[in-house]
Amino acid sequence: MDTKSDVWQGTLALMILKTIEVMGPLHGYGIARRIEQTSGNRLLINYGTLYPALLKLEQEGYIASEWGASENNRRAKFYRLTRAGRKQVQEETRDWEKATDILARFLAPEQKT
Amino acid sequence: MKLLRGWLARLAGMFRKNDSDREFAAELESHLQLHIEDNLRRGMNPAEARRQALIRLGGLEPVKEALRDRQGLPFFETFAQDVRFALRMLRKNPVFTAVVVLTLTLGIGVNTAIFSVVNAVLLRPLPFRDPDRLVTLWQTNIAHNAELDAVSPANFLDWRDDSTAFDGMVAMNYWSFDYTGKGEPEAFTGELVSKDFFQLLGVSPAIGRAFLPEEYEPGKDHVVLLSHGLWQRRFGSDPAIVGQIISLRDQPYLVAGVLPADFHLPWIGKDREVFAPLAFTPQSHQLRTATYLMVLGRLKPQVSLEQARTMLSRTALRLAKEYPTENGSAGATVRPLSEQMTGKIRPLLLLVSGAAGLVLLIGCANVANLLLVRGSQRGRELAIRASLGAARTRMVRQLLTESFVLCAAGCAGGLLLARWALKFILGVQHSGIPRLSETTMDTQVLFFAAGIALLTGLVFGLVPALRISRTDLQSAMRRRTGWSRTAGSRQGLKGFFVISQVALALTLLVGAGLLLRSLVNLLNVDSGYSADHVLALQVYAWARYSTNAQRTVFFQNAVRNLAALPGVEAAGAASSLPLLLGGPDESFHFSIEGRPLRADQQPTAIQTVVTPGYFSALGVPLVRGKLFSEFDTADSPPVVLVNQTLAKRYWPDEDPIGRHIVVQIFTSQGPPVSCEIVGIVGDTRQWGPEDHPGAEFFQPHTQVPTGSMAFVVRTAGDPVIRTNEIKRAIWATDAKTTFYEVQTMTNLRDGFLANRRLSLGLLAGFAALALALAAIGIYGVISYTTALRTQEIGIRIALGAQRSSVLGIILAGGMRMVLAGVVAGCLLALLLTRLFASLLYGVGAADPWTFSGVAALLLLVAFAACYLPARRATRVDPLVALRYE
Repeated sequence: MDTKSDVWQGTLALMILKTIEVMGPLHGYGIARRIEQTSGNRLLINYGTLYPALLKLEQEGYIASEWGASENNRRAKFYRLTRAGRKQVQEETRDWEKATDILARFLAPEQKT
Repeated sequence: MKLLRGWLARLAGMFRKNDSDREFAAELESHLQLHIEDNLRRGMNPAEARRQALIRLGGLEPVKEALRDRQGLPFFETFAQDVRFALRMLRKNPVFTAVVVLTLTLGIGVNTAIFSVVNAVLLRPLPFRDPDRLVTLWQTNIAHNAELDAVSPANFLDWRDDSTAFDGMVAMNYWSFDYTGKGEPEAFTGELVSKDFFQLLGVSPAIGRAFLPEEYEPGKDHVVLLSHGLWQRRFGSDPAIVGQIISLRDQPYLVAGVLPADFHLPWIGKDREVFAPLAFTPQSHQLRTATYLMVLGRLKPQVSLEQARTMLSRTALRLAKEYPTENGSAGATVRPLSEQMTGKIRPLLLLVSGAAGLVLLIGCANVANLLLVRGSQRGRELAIRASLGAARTRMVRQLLTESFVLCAAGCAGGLLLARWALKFILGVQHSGIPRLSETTMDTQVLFFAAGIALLTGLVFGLVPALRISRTDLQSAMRRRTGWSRTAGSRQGLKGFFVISQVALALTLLVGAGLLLRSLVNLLNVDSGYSADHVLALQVYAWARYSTNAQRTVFFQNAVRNLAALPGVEAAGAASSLPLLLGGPDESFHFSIEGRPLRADQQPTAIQTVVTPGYFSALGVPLVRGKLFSEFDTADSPPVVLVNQTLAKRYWPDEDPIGRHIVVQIFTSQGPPVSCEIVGIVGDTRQWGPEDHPGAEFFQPHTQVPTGSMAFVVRTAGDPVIRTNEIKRAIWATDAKTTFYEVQTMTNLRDGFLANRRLSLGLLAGFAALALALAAIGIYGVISYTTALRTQEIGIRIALGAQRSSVLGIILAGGMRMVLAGVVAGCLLALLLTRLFASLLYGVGAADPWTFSGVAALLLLVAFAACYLPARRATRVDPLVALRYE
């Protein structure tokens, strides 16, 4: 288990949004499992922090929720992306790429220019 | 945007707590089920599957808690919860709550009311363009010790032409306009204003136009602007009046326009209703000794007040050299308009605001004490909460919330009280406080009230909150009575509050006492005349009667008609009356026959023209010689009467009767006339009871038939109800007579003392409040401490102590604090009363009688406040007291 990392601060929201964008409407447990799978099981989601994060995103208007039936017919709350959420995914993705790009330049082996 | 949206959602979330709680629970439950199913699929047994799922979730309750915090706004929820709790606690202690809220209501209420007045009178800028640059200009005169003299026309014109310090300089001349048109004839009060007056103030007419430049030339100046009030009152708000001709002073005047509704001259007590151009004639360029203009100027932006003063003085010095006979002793000075306006009232208002502040401080001390006392009763409650893990900050926060709830109630009450108090203050007649009528409770006042409420909440809430929350848990839990072990230190804090309350109350009482003694002294001053039952009606008869003979006849007939009225005891007329329009002017030059005349030391006095009945109508006694009679006519030898001050000043060792003084008779063009002194009359205090009488001489109206006179009528009963009768008697002589000031002499006198009465009333009220609050404070602390000592007292009595000696111990403890407070208060009062020594009359700022009387009163009240709870404590049954635990 010690090889698994915690989710970095501030990236969980983007992961949630991206997951919902890719997968379509999904319940909380599904989102968590999907994030873990996508990370190749290298990330371990603290399910306790997932729900407050979902609530926050909903309050900010990026996702909306409604109750529905799960694949094995259990009642579950499904989250879907709103229009604002779609825009937010694009924006945050761009920001994130920029940030990692900059960081990558720092970490790359020094090149003579 | 995102932040705002989140907050709004959370704000909304606060109000559907229950729904969302249920929803969270359902969601988490469905999450668990999904997870458990997964785990089962992986081959765990059901119990293990559930356990693992719960572990990964981190427990149901913490997640719910996190969601709940996320859902609402924890800060406000805690606040709301604290407020609800505070309300519950306060409801449970109605007496405590009532006392605290009442105290705060009084404190905040009086301060808010006084602030409203200060705001309107002192703080709010004048309604003119750049009011800070507006100044008043005055002549000074070393010869008659005059610091703020009106300005003569020739001097004004020279100042204006010479001025480099001012962006503009204008003169105003009080003027009255007899209106004869529809309805009763009436005298409108007005001002003649020189060129650029309205531009200087930055005011333009609401309807019509301002004066044209050529209208300031003599002969073209029959044009007026009406005040909005007059336009409504006499002309039915008819805009068509503009451009019409109305009859003023029996002359046709063109109405050029109407001034805005909010335009008034706040430095003048009575509003002016008509404005006309002040046209300077060639003669006015020569007129240097007649000083009657009020001069306003606007300082240039880069010029300071000091610089302007220096520059003006230089001009005055030049004029003094150029015209040594007229201007030899004349100088000039500049004073800010705001200071000119509020100079007299400022110290009174500051005194009253200071007193209001002290009341609030005493109130705060009281409330703080009550909170401390109550806090000790709540020791156990807080100790239990602390031991259950409540953080200290959390408890302080809750206690502070309680303070703020109390303050909010006090603030609301205070605003109501202030509204009521303002009605009272504004209802005071003839206050003469400029702009007092503009007092309103505007947003600034509301902010002020909220501000002091918040501040007092902190002041009286924080100290007890910090104290109480520092409770020693163990002792608090062990002992039911809270903290008798630490009572000593708490006692110290309460003692401090009591001492400061007593000291502050004593200070207020001393202030009120000194003002009271001043007022009593002023009321007991003999003004030299009797004001009761005397009505004064001022008339200007110049325009209606252009010749001396006409004026003589008019006043003779009118006075005769008045004297013949039933119920009228005496009637007369005089060119000036004590206190009327601020009192007469001691600047009339005369010379004494047979004494050499020196230009710089020419004697001056008040010159008053009277009809024979004046002295008996006003009750001025004849000291020696004889009064005027109907045998003193225009053709008989000129005579004068002098008052005692004049007689003493110029004939200290001789009898002036039979001597002659030489005066210019201004109603004739001839040379100065020698008049024989036929009698000496008593002094009257022309400028109010505070000032010594000035030198005055009287001339019979027949020999100086002036048109500016005031009828003086003494009636048997209340003169006010006879006003119309009296007016009709004068109208019987001339139906077109108009009256300016119609006032009783008592009104004039009361108006003079109104500000004093008002400030004394307020201060006395505050002092009484302070005394009551201090007494409540002492009572509260003594009751509380004796309650704590019940057991000790029981033991003492059981061991044979006399009840009286126990009483003595308690009383001594209480009175020690009181005495310390009295001593501190005396020192404080000595420091503070010196600040308003100028408001005192006939009593020193450190008057030992006032100080000792007030101290005795306070000790007596404090003794009662100590004695009542102390006696109750000693009545305790020793058996009950010993079981008290």
